[in-house]
Amino acid sequence: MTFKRKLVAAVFVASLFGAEHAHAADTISPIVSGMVIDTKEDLLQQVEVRVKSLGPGMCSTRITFANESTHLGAPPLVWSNWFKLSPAVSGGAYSVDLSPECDGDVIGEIKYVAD
Amino acid sequence: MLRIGKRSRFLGANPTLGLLRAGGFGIVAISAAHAQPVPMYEGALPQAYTNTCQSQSLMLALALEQHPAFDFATAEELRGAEVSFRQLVNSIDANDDARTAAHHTVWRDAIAQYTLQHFSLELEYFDDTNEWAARVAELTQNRVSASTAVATRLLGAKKAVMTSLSSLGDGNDYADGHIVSVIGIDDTSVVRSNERHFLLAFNGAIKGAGGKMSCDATDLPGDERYSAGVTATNSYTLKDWNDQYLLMWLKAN
Repeated sequence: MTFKRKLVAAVFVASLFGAEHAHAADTISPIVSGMVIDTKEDLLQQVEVRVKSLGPGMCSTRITFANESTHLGAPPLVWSNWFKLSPAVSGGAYSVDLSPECDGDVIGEIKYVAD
Repeated sequence: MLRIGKRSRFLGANPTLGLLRAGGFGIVAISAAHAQPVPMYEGALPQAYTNTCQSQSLMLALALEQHPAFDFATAEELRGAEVSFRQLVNSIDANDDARTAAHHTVWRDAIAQYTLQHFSLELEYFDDTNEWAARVAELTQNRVSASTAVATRLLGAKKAVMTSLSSLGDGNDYADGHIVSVIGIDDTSVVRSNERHFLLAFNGAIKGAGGKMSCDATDLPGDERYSAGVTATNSYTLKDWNDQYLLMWLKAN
């Protein structure tokens, strides 16, 4: 196969991959500690979260997802960037917990492709 | 969009209204205390889905509360909050055999969770429309008439309360009920049972306006079906809940 044909094939495969993801709409939900999310079957995905502190300062916040804990900094009154959680998961039910490690309140949102 | 009901036809000849319109204040409503723009007039997005009127109305009301963590200043931010909040409503519904996503108490629980108890959703029911209107006026702090309605557009609403309607203006019938945000009302006269008080209400599901004529990748079903804006009218039907009329409002805790 010539380089040009390889390039065309690669672009074609990439477009298929992109199309599949374009159809897999993200679900964004507030995080309620103890909640369980159902992720899409047959799709390996990295769930994303973002956090916001309701207090005046940054608040370290522990997110526990699929038995793995991650610490994020929740900025005051604005959303953090979306943060990809590990591990990547395929279809299933996964619990999510959010625990502020400061005196203030923290809200969070989780983004994933739902079942 | 300021949609004019039958009493407000008089506004067309009002030179004050003409001046304000020409002044270009139509993009957003500015709430006076924090100069926080809340998208309600031109540029407002309709509700995202056919069943998210409650979520859009509640998030609009929350934005007007001016808590800095929930200051949805653009139509897109309000849309994001609406869709996210609805997920919370759905999850409560999914875990509760006794209630559905249409139950008012589910929305009350969702607001408590969404705001971490910083706000509570108060549910009130009235037998009499005059009492209902008086309470709306008390809560919104905005007694309006057809000739003063434009002031809300200029100065912004102070507070939105929510109710359920079966119709709102011409051609907007909602057989199963539809939650709208009331931002002002004229309760200065007692009306008979077949009459209604003039009100200002944000409606996220205005029918017949065709929705959007273009298609964006981010469009949701509501974009194709509805438009959104503030309706000024005394032509509406309050949804009857066991001979009572609903009034919901957010209380800061």
